[in-house]
Amino acid sequence: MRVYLSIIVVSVLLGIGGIIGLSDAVSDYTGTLRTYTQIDATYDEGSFRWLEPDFNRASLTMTLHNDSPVDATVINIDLFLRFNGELDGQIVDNAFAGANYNRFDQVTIAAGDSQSVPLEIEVTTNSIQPIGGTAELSLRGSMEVEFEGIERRLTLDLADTIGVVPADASSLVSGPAR
Amino acid sequence: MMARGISRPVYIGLVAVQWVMLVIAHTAVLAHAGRPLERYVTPYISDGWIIVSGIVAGLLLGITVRSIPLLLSLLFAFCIVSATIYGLVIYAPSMMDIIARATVFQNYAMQQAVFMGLWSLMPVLGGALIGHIAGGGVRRAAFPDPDAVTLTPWWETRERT
Repeated sequence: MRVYLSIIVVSVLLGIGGIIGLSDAVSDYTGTLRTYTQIDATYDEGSFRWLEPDFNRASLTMTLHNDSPVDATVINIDLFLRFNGELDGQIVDNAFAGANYNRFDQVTIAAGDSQSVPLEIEVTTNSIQPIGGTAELSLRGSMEVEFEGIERRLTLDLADTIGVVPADASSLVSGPAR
Repeated sequence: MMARGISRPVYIGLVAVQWVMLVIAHTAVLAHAGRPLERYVTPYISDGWIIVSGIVAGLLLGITVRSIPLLLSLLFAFCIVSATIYGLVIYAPSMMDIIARATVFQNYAMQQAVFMGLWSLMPVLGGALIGHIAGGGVRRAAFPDPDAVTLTPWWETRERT
């Protein structure tokens, strides 16, 4: 009988370990996911500027919001500029125009804080470059974020609409010669 | 004099407690070893521990449960319940409104739960078989049969001439 009861005791001890392990796992899992959903990057409306009249380069500002309870470090942002418009009677449907090719310097955002990051886009698809001022512009891309105390890096998809930004004189900024 | 064994209500209670505790322990192993939670849960252990956990749980239940039909029912229920809890753990962020409730995610959680349930079944059955065969003596000691005939060795019964 003693052996029988010992087996029950062993099972109960395993169960107690299981309760601790299971609650830890659920807490880790939901906590990490909750943190992941509390970071966001949005395009600052009106911040897009063509830097050159031939729509070769542009600048824009993204604001990174960290509503999570831990500090977040944005390791990298990959942004792709897309054109939606018409060129010589042909429809340009969400075509890739260019990207932020410059090296991104990582940014640390404190918990509950926001930070604006200026980015420069270089248009590399020369065939659609002329419609830069008339096309509907949009952004696609991804952002790689590291959270304090969380091992896994998060890759977050980004998508935003800019709208039509003509290269009028007021928006043109003289940038450095390339 | 025959030793008094464990009474039936106590036996049912002990087996019930043991089953619940082993289900929780096995589910915890699933949560720490299952691929869907691999990147979220620390420590993440090798998925081989699912087999070890299944064998140990089956072994312990196999030793303590007396009736084979009851043992088999408990083992199947063990796999179904632990897999269901595991599926609910995967789907927990949706239920807690952390992420959107998507049918795709629900189906994924269910598929993973079914997979883990089936994966657990073989080691649990194997462990139970070993436990039931090896644990006969333990059960006999805990539940002595009052109707058992005690055979007296012939050398003790032989009449002296």
